[in-house]
Amino acid sequence: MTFINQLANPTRFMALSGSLLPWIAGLSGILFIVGFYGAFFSAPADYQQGETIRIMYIHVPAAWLAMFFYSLMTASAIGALVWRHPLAEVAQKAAAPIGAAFALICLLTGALWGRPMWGTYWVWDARLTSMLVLLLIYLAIMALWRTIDEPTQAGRAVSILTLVGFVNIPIIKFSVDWWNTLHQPASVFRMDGPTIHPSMLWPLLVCAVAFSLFAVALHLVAMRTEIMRRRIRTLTILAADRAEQQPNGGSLIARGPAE
Amino acid sequence: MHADPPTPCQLITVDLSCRRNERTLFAGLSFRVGAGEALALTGPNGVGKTSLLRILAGLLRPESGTVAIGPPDADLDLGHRSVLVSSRDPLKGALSVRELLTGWQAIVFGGGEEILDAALQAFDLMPLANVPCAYLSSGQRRRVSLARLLLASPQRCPVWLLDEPTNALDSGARKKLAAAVALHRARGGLVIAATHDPLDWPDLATLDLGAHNAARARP
Amino acid sequence: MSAFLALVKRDLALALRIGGGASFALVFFLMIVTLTPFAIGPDLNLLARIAPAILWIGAVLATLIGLDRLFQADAEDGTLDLIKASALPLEAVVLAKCLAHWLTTGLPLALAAPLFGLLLAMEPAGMAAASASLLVGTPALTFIGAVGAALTAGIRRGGVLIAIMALPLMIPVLIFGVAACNAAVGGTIAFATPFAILCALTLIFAVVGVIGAAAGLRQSD
Repeated sequence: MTFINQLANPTRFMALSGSLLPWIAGLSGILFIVGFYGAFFSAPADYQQGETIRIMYIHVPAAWLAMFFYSLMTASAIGALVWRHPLAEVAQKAAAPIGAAFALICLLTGALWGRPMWGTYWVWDARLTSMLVLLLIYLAIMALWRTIDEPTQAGRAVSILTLVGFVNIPIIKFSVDWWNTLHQPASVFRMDGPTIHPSMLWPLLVCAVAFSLFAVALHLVAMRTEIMRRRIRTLTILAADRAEQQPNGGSLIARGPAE
Repeated sequence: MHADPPTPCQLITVDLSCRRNERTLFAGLSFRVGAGEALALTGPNGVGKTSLLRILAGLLRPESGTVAIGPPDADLDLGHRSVLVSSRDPLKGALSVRELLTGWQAIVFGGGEEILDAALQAFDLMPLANVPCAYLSSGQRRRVSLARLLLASPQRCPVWLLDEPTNALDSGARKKLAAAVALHRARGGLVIAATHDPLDWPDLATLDLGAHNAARARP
Repeated sequence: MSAFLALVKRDLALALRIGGGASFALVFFLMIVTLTPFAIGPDLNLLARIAPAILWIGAVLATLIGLDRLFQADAEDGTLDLIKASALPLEAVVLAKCLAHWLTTGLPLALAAPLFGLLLAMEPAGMAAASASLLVGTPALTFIGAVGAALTAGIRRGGVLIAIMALPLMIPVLIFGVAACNAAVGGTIAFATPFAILCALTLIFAVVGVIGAAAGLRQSD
């Protein structure tokens, strides 16, 4: 617990994340090379789907990360609401665009994968549709972040929205499945086969780990950026206050991009 | 600094009356403010001080009567001869003070960067130039509002119309405002300010709208 | 001209920064496109047939986003009084604000329409027609909405009122926009006919809307 408390101090977080970042990014890079070699050269083409099966190695990790980042946001939202921890807010804010990006990647690769299978880029398949709704929720959360400038106030508002969304996700998932089976009794295509051959499984797992590490690295960078953005904001406000206290004082503010 | 000789300017109203929401706020109001003069509008709340300023700024049509700012200029109508600083601060939280004022220059007043810097300097806004308006205190916001007076050229906009200009200002900022007003008057501009606070400006004439109405109400 | 461009630039900056709603219309558009199949079912043949209607209704509703603040934000904080003192005629002010609104609303909708058309199983020709018709049609929606925005600039809760006032006036644009899309993928009339009428509507509303909105702003005090 003390470790977590120390980590949760933004200054310590900056130091620790700064030293960890190259390692995570480097490891992710190595795993990408191995994983993509496995995915594109070593693994066999599918007897039914042919070469397009290789999209799976991007599509499936993206789907898993889109869901993982929402869980991360939910955990952070609880941290922000219950413990009022600034780092939890930062983690939550940094996670939203990354999760949204992976949801989008999942949808785009799903569409590309679907084209040869269904003859069209998009069918309202239950899984894809649920992912689309998840993307919409991500976009709503990002819109709320973009609208409130005060970080703590924005953090609290977004936390509530995130939690309400989290409670809703199983309901949405159930509703979409029900809606889908109602309209489409026969499943057109299943994204995950019931069995997967080991020659396909290991590249998938390596790719999943590589993508996850990549996402963690992105998240750390985004968190560091957000912490620095908040520091600049605080400094700007402090400088405005100080300018009030000592008129005719020199410019206390670093020249901004407006110059 | 403007090298041109002071414009012999005056503002004349004749028999002005104003009705808002079925109530006559004031009627039969005639007065003249000449170059270099300053007039304080006083009177209780709701007597029509703000409405009068908006009429003088060309934003509100009087029920009857006329306003003229002379010497007449064919190119410019009433709204273009004056600068109105209303009680609201037209600030945008997302823009920095400098961006905001640059925008006002480009859209309304014209003028270059040296005029902008002088305006910032005059109201002690230089240290705040790059701060987004959202982070300013109410006194700072007021000073940004007032800085627009110095963006306008005194030839084109000789009339300053101020609505409660000292609201939220501390004593230092009030002195800055008084200095700006004095300089404007020295250049031949004229100033009309609606106010509850006593203003310590020299040679300040006073028009008490409440007294004016009371005098008219007596038979 | 420089004052006009400065006004457009200022409005764009405000829309793109924190607190501005530059991307809201696009997100709202995507949400409408997503909601419709949940209501009518995922039958791709049916969706493809009504896709132009969905896209256009989505565009009409998404245009309303941001319209409520088009003049209200400036009226509330007194910026409008300041802008009125500009040498720009009020019509040019309205045109500048409409242009900024369209650049952050109508233009992204038109550009995103083909992508969203994919969700509705549109044919490539249909997507191109949807994009083209939205490109020339959405300015008309903005101009019509500007009149409502000007009339409600000083009114609280003006947002709903704008929708009620503007939506009936948007019907002709909707008719010819959808007609152009349908004509592109078959049908009895040529694409050019409804498309030309749509262009004409935009030109008409550019004049009527700008003059009407300027008149609305003038009387607002």
